Amino acid sequence: MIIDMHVHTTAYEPDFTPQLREAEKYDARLVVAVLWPVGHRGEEPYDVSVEFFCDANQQALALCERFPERVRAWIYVNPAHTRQALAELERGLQHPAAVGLKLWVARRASDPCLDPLLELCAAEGVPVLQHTWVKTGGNLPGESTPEDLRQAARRHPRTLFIMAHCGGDWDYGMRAARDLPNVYVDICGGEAMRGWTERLVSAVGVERVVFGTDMPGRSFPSQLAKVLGARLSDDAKERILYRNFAAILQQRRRPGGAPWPV
Amino acid sequence: MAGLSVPPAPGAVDVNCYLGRWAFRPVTCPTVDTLLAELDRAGIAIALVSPLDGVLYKEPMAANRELAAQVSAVPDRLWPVCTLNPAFPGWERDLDECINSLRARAIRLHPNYHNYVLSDPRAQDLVRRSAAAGLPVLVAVGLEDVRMHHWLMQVPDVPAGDIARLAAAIPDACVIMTGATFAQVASLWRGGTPVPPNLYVELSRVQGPIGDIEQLCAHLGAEHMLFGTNLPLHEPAALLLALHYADLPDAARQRIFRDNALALLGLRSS
Repeated sequence: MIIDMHVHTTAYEPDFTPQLREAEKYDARLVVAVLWPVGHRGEEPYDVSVEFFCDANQQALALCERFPERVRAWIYVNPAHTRQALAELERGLQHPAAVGLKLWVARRASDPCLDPLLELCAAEGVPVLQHTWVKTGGNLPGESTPEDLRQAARRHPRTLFIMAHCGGDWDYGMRAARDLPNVYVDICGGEAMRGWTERLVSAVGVERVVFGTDMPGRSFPSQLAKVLGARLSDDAKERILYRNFAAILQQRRRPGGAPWPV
Repeated sequence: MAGLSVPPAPGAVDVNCYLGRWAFRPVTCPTVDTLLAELDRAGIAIALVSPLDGVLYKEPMAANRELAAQVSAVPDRLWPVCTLNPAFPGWERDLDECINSLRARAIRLHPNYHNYVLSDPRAQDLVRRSAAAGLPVLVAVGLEDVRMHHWLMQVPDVPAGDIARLAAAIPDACVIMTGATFAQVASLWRGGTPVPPNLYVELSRVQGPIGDIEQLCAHLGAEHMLFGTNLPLHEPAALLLALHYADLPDAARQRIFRDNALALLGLRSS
């Protein structure tokens, strides 16, 4: 079994069938973050409104209810709307299928406006999935680098962070994460590069690497190749594909949670 | 899905493989022996190998000669592809040397790294002469994601439309587009650029969206798609898994893995 902990819905479209079909093909469970909710096409997609992210979460949790064996959800907010974002996160985490907080490119991870959200995640025992990338041509204004995440992780040592995409350029990501035990890395999003997964595991340890695909933008096999193609033991591959993230889910403190079994 | 290993592709032909070092980071298989180990692991029988150092040489003949010497030890597995720069004086003599002395099986162009465009008459002349010699021409769209290029060396990808127009302008040539993403290939039909019958697409950097391989089959036809790895930069398992799990007839899979490449190289599948 596989847990794909980084999946999206198709932008502004209700059809989740292609993702579910891939999940069935590869025997995968999906953790979805809705970043482009149905009904909001044409609106600002990065520095999003309260209504935008509340609708996104409602749609993500509806998928969990429709496919309870297969789907869990991230609660996505714009931390610039701090009060409403905190209320939405509290509300979202009451749902047993909500696994944690997703932050994208509205504000950098180093921004203090994230602090109440990160404290709540520590109290709830749920992870924070933070998008990171280092683009040679320049990031979006609110787009975090691994260094931004590093600042947040140092400020919040009790919060468990997952550095999405390992910073895009993994040399950045692995160096930023390697001495911070509360930072995990997900390997999805970029092209599958030869030898990178082995170097990442060597830098941060296999126990802090988790698997995602970034579907639908990326294909499942291209991301799976980063694990199956790596010169790693079967035990290491199983940890990355399933056990590490399943163990993260077990840390959820709220009763009534429904994490997948380890 | 069965197991934690990658299904190999016995007998596959890799049309997009490099040998050498990459200036921007270490690679795992920079030598003949290490490259062969990678190919063995994937079940690849034959690889068309281009010189990786030649991407960054202004005058790539030194890299071609080194490559030809290295792969001559395993002539049944590694077939040399020589990189030429038509914007550099004297390429005509270089082409002769590549054909007659270095036994090139194909010619490789990097218009972006070598600072010319494919509509340049010199580039078109080179492609015409290569076609006359019976050699396919590989044109690299890009080698890796431009978002992670070196700060001082940001090299835009070659537009897929430029490669399609090159093929259309020289119908006798066999033009192979390598290292293109799905979006770059799809820009042809989405932008109304005709896909000429002598254009072939190598798939190592086609890594999404969901259904990418099936869509390419529908628009290009399996007979225009080729297996490649982009080793030592990219992970061969990506395309091995994608083709293994794609909703394709087995015959189409076989064409992509092997038969199309052998036909382009003037050989029959055994």
